[in-house]
Amino acid sequence: MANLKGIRVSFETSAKWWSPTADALFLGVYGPGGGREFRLNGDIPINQPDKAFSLVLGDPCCPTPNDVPVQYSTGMGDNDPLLNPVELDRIDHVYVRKETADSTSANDDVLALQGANVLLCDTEGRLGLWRRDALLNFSDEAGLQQWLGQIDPPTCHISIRLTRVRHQPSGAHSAGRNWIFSFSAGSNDDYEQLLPPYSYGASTYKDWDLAFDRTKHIAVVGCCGHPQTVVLHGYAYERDWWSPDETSMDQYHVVACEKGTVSQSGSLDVVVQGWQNHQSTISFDYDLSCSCGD
Amino acid sequence: MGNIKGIRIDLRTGTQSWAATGDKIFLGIHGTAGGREFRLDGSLKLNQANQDHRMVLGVTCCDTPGYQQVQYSTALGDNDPLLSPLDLASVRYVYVRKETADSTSTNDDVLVLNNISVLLCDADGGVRRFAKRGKINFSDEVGLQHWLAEVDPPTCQVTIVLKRIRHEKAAKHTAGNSWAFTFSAGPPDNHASYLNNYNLKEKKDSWDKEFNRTASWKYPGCCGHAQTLSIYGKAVEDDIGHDDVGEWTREITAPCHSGTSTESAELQLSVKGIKNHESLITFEYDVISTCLD
Repeated sequence: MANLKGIRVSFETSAKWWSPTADALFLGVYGPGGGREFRLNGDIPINQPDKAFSLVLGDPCCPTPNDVPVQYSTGMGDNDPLLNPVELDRIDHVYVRKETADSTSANDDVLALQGANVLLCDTEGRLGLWRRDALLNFSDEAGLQQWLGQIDPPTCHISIRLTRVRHQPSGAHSAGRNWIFSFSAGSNDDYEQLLPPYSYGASTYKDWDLAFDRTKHIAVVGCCGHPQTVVLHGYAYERDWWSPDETSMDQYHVVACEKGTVSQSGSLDVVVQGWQNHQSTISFDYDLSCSCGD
Repeated sequence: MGNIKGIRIDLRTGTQSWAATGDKIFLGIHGTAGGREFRLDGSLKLNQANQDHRMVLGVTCCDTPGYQQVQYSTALGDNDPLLSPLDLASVRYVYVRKETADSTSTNDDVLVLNNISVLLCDADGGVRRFAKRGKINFSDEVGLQHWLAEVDPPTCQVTIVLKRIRHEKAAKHTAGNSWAFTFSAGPPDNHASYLNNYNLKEKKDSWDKEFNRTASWKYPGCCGHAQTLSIYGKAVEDDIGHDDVGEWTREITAPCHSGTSTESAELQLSVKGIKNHESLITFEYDVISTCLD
């Protein structure tokens, strides 16, 4: 139930010399909850072929250095999305429309784009992305309005893979040989036990390690470049007949979710204190990979 | 729902000196079964700022007087909604669009509305309403089209209040002093239970018990359409030999005029016991109907 507060319209004029236009260009957003048109090029001339434009209205989401504010689009101006509130969740159509200068073919100044993207965001930070990846011709000869399709909004895809569980005595003696351990990972909203309680009777009190291949995928909607936090939880328990030694540990791993894939490795250490000088460290080794697409 | 037969438009132009327009204004209605535009200002000009305009296309929607007929919008004229039938239930979008005089910013005559409401009526009594409020600007500088959001249509709310139950002796002796009451009310297919075998012991010949229990029902539709409901009352006096029972169902009508009306009424049951034993049980209730156009 949050209202549209920001819009970024990005497109690139085609390479044809006649692709830019001086005619009025509009963005329309609407749905069962209402909607409206916005003028896009009031004081922003679309006057060069093969040029990228990033026009923003209101308080846009996922800002870029190339953003150019549209005239009257802030401070409750007549092009501000907040002036006539419309709920983002109820928008089901987005289009771009060109007018002819005087509704005659003779004075129609054609516009040709190499696709268009419209990123909408609401007052609660949610995103909606609409796109058309095609040559878009706006002209009296070919039609003056093009609707865009809704696609997944910018999303950070994160994979967390548990690769190994290692044991090392970290005191004068190991905490023991009879182990149960588990490992969970995810985001605050999507958290899962990758390794359910796993029993392992080691043959040695010294170093050992076990290989695993357990993976959790999470998808977090948000602007690319925004850091995302992965929550990791390790648990280790050494079964003693006189007293159980158990410890759990939470760790937060912040990943910079940029475009392209970034891989990192890490380790979550759980120190298990046994009797007197008996202590072990159980290490959960994991790989993280993340990529952001918009 | 049936086909749209009437469209009622209420709008107010903005207070700015330049809020009125001489440009063409269209109303668009479309959805899953198609749709069309209607010209709104063919003969009705929106040429004064800060003024209410009340227009109707087709037949009068909700029989409200004082609306100006849009040009060519009756008798299957080109602006009559019945000319190209459109099922009211299929409508998803309602918009208002302004044209510029000649598609140049120079000759764009801006229109600003403070609010607009569009009421759609079909031949079966179905009604839907779309509206928008705030500074609604139609101009070359900021866009020429606004979509409206669906809001509540005119709705009649009927409330039935069970106020009290009274007991009176109707013969030499009452039917008894150990009672169970049941009371329900509402549309025949959606009765609300107010009392369900509510037990009460009372030795007096005359007594009354206050309840003030309420239930409400909503009927979307034009004001002035009466709604039929029913009430049911039952009183049982618990006897060792056999129960003494009285029960009755009554049909009632809520007028649903514009505004609020309250009618007080009673449902009276006779409960007869052996020989000269009889009681009168009276359920006192109010029927309140409120219709907002």
